[in-house]
Amino acid sequence: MTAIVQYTLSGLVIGGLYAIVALGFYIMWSAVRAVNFAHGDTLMLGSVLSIALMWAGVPLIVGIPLAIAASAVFGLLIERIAVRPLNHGPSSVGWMLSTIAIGLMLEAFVTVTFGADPRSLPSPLMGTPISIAGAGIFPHELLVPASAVALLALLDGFYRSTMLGRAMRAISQKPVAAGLMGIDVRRMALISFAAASALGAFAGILAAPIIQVSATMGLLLGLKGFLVAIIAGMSNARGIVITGFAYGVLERFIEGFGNTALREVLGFGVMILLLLMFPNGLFGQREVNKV
Amino acid sequence: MNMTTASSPPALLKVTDLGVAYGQVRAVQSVSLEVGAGEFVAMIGSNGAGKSSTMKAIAGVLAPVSGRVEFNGADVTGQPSHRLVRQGLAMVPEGRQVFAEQTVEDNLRLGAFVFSRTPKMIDEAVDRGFTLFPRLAERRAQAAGSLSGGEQQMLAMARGLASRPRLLVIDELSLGLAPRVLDMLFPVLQQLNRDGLAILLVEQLATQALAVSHRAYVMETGRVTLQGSARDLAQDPAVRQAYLGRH
Repeated sequence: MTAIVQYTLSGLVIGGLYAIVALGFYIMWSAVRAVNFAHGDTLMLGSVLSIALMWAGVPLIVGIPLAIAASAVFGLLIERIAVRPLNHGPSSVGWMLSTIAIGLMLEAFVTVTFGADPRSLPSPLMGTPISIAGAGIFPHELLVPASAVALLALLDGFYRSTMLGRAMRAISQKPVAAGLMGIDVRRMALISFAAASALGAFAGILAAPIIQVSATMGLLLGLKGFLVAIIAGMSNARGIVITGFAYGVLERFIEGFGNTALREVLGFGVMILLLLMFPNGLFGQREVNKV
Repeated sequence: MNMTTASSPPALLKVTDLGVAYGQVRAVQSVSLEVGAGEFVAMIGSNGAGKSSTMKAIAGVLAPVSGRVEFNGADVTGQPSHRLVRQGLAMVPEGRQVFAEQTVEDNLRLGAFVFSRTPKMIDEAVDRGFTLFPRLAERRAQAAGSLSGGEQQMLAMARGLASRPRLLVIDELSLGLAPRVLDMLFPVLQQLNRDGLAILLVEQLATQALAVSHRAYVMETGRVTLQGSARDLAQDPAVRQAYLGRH
């Protein structure tokens, strides 16, 4: 019984992280029907920068916002140089290659400058674990699922009731019409990538005390976040967060009753199966448009 | 010529020798046209004559390869659409182009995007749209993509009007719509025009377009071949043979 609670709790932690990563993909996809495949690397960038700034003597309260801001600029650059020039409608795939390439370049650069050893960011909430129904968990870990839910509510309100949010969804559906409404489509695309990258960096920093920070930490997290977004159906934020949690819990159970290798095999296997059964995603709706 | 049309109003839109090309393919050779403040002008012509391309270049959706577009006395040639809207030039695009995944109300709000800093004006724009087309009010929370073609055209028109333009360019109002819907939409255009809105309407249904407009241009293979008062053009034998009587 304790094991089940333990797996569920730690599953919600890692699943919350997948959910936040997936929400970044959702933001980009909603705006331009393309994503930064190096999005996992913005997590890495955020946590590596905050650790580097900490080493340089910058207090975390300043360093963390700086790291997030720098990652947002990274997102701007990705959109401008790797996505926009190569994204000309649904059949374009050039942006996949270019963003993956930039991610690999960033990983190599960080390995050289930051070092290959995994690091960790200290957190005052990682001191003593608290006990929930016999299972132990650090207070900091609980921040992850809580953040995922809070971010979902925030994003939902943003898209539902701000002009910027409405415009950021409109540009992907009908870019020409969006321009005719007075929306600067290019600017919106930039904003969406900056926001997604800032969110990614935030996720990285949030995870930095829990998981090991290294140049390659973003690879699997980015991939799983993308899978979660795809399985949920790219256009449904709530579904993305639910799927993220579910995938995290599933992973922990497989790991707990099996082993780590089995986790990836079964986890990805289930994902592929779901994708075959629900091509539009678990929560995706078919795009409706009568002509 | 009678006295009321002897002095034409000062041009709100003045297009001179406009040319549009898609790569090497020239879609518009050289088009000159004018729309006066408060005037209702139609452009008719067969499919592929370059009407839509002309409108896209006027509204800033496409950059022209030659010629000049003046709006409200200022040279706006090649300016992107998102800037032209702020100057009072709006367009209802061909095929409606509603934001299908968003609600009817959100579509209207997006139409008033230029008022982003004054939420009160956005609310007013939404109310105006619902007053103009009460059908839209009934469907305000529905996804725009679930509307019928006629309702989508109403939404596209209301959305185009939300920015309070001085000139509304409408590209192919009738495309794919039932005659019953058109019988409702054309009078709305006339009323909007009587209230002071200048309209430039591109339309394949020449009879209807000439019935509601003051003046008209006929376009063929990238050029304006005829122009004049709508009444005169409706009587012109060449126009009658080519474009009228089919509908």
